[in-house]
Amino acid sequence: MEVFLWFVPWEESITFIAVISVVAILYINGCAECHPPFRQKLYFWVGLVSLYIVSQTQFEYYSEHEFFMHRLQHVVLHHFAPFFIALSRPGAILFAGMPLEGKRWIRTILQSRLAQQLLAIVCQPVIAVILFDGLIFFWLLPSIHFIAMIDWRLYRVMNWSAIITGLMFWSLVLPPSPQKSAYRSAGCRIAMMLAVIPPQIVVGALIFFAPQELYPIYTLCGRAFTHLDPLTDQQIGGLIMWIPASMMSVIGIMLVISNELRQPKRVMSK
Amino acid sequence: MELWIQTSAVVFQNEYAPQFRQAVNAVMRQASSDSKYSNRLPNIWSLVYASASVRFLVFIILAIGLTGCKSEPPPWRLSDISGHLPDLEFSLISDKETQVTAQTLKGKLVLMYFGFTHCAAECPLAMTRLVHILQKLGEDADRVHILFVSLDPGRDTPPVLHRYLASFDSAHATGVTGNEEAIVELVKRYRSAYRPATDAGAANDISHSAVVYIFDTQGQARLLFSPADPDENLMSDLLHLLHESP
Repeated sequence: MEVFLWFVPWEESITFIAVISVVAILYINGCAECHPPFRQKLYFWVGLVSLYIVSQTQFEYYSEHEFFMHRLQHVVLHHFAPFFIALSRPGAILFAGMPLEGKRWIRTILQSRLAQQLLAIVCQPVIAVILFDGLIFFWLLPSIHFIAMIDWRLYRVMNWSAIITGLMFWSLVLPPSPQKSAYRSAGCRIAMMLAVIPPQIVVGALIFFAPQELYPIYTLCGRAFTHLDPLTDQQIGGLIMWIPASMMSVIGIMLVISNELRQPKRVMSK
Repeated sequence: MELWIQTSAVVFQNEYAPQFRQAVNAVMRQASSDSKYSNRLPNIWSLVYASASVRFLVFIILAIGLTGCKSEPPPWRLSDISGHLPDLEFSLISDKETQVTAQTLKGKLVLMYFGFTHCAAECPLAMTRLVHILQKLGEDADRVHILFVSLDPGRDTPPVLHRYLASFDSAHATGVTGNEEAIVELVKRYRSAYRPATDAGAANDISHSAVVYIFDTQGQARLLFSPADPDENLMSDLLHLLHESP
């Protein structure tokens, strides 16, 4: 019973639950048709379930009321879960799981000029890197962070934007690279993952070494762990930005390299 | 900001201006060409396409305009949260054992504080400060009301709350309690921390917010008063709120 209570959402969001369930149903449907390998399915479910756990359980209470838990939530929303979802390349399977009407819609939208242009812009490596890192930093500006944590609408926007930019970035850089317009060479993808590391380290370090409380909102609205003092909380938050967030890039780079090594023919011909 | 505008202007010149020029040229060519082509409609789509860049420019101009004409900064010295938190809304039992809702408090500035009577440090301190400031307000104090929301409904029955508040200022304060769900709902509404004590013995460990939520006479959330703010700031902001035209 106690365990069950942990899975009751602290702040239920119908939109979030609906989106996650629709994606899950589409994936199950698609799997029945495509029969992807087990590993691919595992990656997808790890990503999707971790998105759900950090957003729609009691975990959210802690991430609203403790800075380092908030950072942890964002590492999952922005790095960990999108990383795994992108790694499983669920696009084709989700598409296969759609009803006919939905497929037609998606095709029309994707083939429209606006969508094509938008995709071309966000898939541009420099823009993708700026979007991915810029978004974290934007929400961490102390005045913006204050409002985002107090206004539930902005809070939702913040979390959604983290998920969306995370998915865009990781699906662009992780192997195998999409073959069509979004194709980027392995070098380019490694460079992108390297490029997002230093800014995160700098901001993480700035937060870690800040002599005063940067985000008083947590003190104002009350901390989940009363015995942890505000500066320690902030420092742990900074470290979480500094280390695990950068680590995901390193894992991504290793995946790209190993993927390249597994295709000796193409490398040789170049 | 300036740098950004400069960069976008450069981007505009390099990326979009040629497209626009081409599109206009194409339309002009078609319009002025001989009869062989004149029955064909001018290529409107190329113009619309070019206008995407026009839209881009308009957006930049708007952005500059919006940031440029900043109005006078509001007089608040506390954290201004107008528009970010929902209006006051609750229905709980008061320390006088009557039903209290947000409607009951309409027309008064409400200072809402989450606490519990067994709280050892923060709650009595915060209440003492608030009462002290209210005393300094003089006559205006009658239009200000302290709402003490109990986070410990198990032990804070209305009589207990009444006795507790009597030691501060029962004329300007109402203690409210109720069932746990109603209280959790109110806590969530204002994004305040609240973890009920796991066992009765450790009840001193209920975690709660330190902040005082300030609502105007219409019940709209306006300001946050933190323990770190000096009394004068609260005084001046309360006076501003009391004397602003509704």
